[in-house]
Amino acid sequence: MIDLKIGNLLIYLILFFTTSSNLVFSSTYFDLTLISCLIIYVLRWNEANWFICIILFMLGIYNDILISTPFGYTSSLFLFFYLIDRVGNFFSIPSNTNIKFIIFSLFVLILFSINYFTIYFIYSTSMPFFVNLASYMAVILLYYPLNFIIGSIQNKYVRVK
Amino acid sequence: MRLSRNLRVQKILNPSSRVFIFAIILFAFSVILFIGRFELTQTAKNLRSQVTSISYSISHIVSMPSNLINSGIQSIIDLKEIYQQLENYRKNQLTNSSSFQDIVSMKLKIAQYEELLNLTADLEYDFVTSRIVADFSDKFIGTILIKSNETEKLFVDMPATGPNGILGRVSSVDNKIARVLLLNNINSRLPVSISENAYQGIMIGQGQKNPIVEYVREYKNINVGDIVSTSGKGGIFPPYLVVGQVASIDGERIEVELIEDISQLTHIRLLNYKFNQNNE
Repeated sequence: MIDLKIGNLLIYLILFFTTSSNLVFSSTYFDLTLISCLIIYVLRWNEANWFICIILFMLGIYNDILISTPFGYTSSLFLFFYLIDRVGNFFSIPSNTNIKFIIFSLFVLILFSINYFTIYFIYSTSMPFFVNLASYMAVILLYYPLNFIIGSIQNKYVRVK
Repeated sequence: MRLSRNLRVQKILNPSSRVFIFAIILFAFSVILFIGRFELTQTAKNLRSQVTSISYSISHIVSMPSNLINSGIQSIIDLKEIYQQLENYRKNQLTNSSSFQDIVSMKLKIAQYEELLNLTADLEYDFVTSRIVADFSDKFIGTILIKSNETEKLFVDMPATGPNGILGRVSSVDNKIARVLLLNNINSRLPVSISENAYQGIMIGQGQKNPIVEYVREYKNINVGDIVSTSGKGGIFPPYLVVGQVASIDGERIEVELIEDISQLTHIRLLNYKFNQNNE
């Protein structure tokens, strides 16, 4: 069943806004695609809503179109972080924010290594290590503030409900 | 035994597990799209140009109020710059007039030499100016989006330049938007000449500010500060357009500092240069 409650629509709009901001905002130190991944990871999703997967897939394709990355790159990133979150939920990790943070940081660093070495070996290009690492570190540093903001918004939503 | 099997089946078929399996399938599909290089197909190219146009139109409407404020601030900054330039011009008026005379006499000399050498005139081209609407130059897939009108006949591989030198080339064109592949894009390759001796090489984008030049045989004769310009080989870019200066040399690796800073530009020039047409 398609779940179009106001709370969910707001989440989709936030993700759509973050993705679309690529058109007007570009920075070496803040990668909006990675920030979207963080939002996806931090949000508490409705586990039985399959519509989320389709939305994430479509948003990924939209992001690829905007910033001209290969098709499927951003969708796989979005769904990957969604799946990590789900696997974490299965093992009841959300009760411990620190473990969730460590898992996120670990996967972000793995993602950086894959990106860096793919560009190094396939394009034979050595990009400046620390400049590229900066955007990944920024997203790791943003974890706690964003987790706090989204957590308080979602808790408030639950209380009102 | 049967009960436990039923429980297991129920666990797999519960909505939460089904969504999880669905997510895995979509993830696998995304990875296949990525590895299969779907973006190279014509369908993907059409989809890309359509969606970019639509999202540009929407973002243009949404950002109208902030654009108004931005343009107001920009006008004030422009006025200040014009005032400063006028002051500088007044101070250097004498020097400028003498250098202008030098340039004119040099141009006349070059024209005379070309006539003596019986060189073909393959460097005549006009240009159109286009506004930058989105800048992705900070990413390793460095591109910009520019406005394209139907009246302006833009085409793929059109060289893009700033007021001082080359920026890149047009990689896709739509009715409203065109995409320019910048020189720092990791897919960018540009045949260049270095220094007055015209040492030949290929400039390769590094996904960072400064690209590098490779395949230079006489790399030992190159010095920091040498001018890098387009060689005209390949037929996409006209020759003698300034690209930048040699910033550092590390063995065979020559790093080039680009003359144009895309973040400081609001408009670019697109050169109507078609090597094959000129030769016909």
